[in-house]
Amino acid sequence: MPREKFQALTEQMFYILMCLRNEMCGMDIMSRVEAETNGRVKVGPGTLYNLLEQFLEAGFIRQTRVEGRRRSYILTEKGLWTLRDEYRRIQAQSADYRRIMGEEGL
Amino acid sequence: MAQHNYYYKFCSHAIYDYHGLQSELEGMAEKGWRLDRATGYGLWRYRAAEPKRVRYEITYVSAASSEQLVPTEDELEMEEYCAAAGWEKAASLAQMQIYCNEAPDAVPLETDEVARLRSIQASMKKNYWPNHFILLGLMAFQLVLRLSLLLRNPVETLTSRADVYLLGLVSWALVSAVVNLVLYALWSVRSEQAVVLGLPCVSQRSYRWARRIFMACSGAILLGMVWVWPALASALLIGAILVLVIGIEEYTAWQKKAKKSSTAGILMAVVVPLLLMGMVIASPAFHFQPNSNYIADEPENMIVTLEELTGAPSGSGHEIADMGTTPFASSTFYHQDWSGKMISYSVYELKTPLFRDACVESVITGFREWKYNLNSPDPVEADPGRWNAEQVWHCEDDGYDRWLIIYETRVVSFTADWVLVEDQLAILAEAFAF
Repeated sequence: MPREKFQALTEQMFYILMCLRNEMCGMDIMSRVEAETNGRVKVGPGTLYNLLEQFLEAGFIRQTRVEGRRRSYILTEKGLWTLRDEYRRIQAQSADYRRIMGEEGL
Repeated sequence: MAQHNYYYKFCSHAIYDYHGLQSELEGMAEKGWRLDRATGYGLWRYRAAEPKRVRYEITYVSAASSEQLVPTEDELEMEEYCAAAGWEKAASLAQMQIYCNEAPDAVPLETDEVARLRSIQASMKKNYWPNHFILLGLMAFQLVLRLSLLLRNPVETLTSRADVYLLGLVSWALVSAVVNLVLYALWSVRSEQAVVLGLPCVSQRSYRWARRIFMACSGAILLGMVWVWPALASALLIGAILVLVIGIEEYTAWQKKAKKSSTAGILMAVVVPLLLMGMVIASPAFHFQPNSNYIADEPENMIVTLEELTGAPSGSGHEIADMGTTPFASSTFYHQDWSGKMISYSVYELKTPLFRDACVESVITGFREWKYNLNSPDPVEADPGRWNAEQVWHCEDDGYDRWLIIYETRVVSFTADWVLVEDQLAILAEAFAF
């Protein structure tokens, strides 16, 4: 069964969207994600390019400026809701873990 | 001595199988060959370099296009992102972008398998699916036409090398399009299942040998033209096809490199090879009729002669022609015209039981419908016992004596310009039951 698009965000999707709470050009996103996660999460250029295209198509982000070949983007309302939904999903997962694993003393 | 700086190698991996492509390119780099150009016709060019461990990664830009003479803005934007991460573009082919990096600890080009799979699927949807569906549709249409021809004229079709060859070629192209689509669909579904589990997309490396065999078979089938047409005509046609396929791509590559865009130029690249192909097909070499190959005129090559039938010396006047020979059927025409008497007969050898009944029915229909004039009588079934045959049809028409004798794997259609007597029929029966 094919996975529904953006049903659950991957780590890279999550952090790229979070970076775009402020207007930012594609090039800066790679370094910002790495910095904000203390190097734990790295976004490859191919992944970044393709995700930005997919987010634009899904209406999660919009283009704000084009300077030469540098395009800047910002999160849309729809993108913000998607990000919040994902956060709630992760929170729920985390709460479930604490409850279930905590009960078993793990 | 001139140093060979380039090495050409056929790429036997599917365009979406990035695992296979990456490992092939890394293996070549270790041997001292760096990818210089990737081509749609499969012959990839490598340039000599210091043998080194080089990382190759492939990414897919669905907005890129092979028809664009200059790199698209999307491709250039991607190049900029990659350059910032230390990746250098090695080559591109339609939506597929190939990058290399000598730093072992560089951030991978793709860090999210879900996003990667989506971009591959979007790219394949743009080029791979439409191209294969167009090929599939064209070949299915051609196959229907060829099969209807086979059902309408089974003997003519099965004895014609050109028809049998084209039927095989069309079937092969159809099967290859279906196989390619099925393999991609399987890869896509399995990769979906893998990425859900956090694994990378699946590899098709294990199909590499199957692909090579498939490609070799395709080449052999193309070269099989020499079985149908004269070698010169076949070579010219194959040459024209290669000029068409390779010429357009090489020309657009040159224009890309020169950063030029000329509509007239691309038109020339398409029109010139097409004209060349038209000229080859229209050339006299191609209009040589392989179905009427003259064989011999010696009486010993005849199955039965006028001399054997009439007892009178018949001299020359023999003619034997191969009307078509294939692994499925053959048709040979025999004729002798001497001293006011004439015999002519066609012998059909049916080598496959698959269309045997259809061929027999077609020959009977042809025999029954053929008339010298409007008042010609209809042929009637005769006793096959004397002929040791399955079925015999006979017609005396305007002084001509026509016989159709059907054996298990052979059909003989015989005509004499006089009415045969019993003794002559006995000679014929003995001669044709060889």
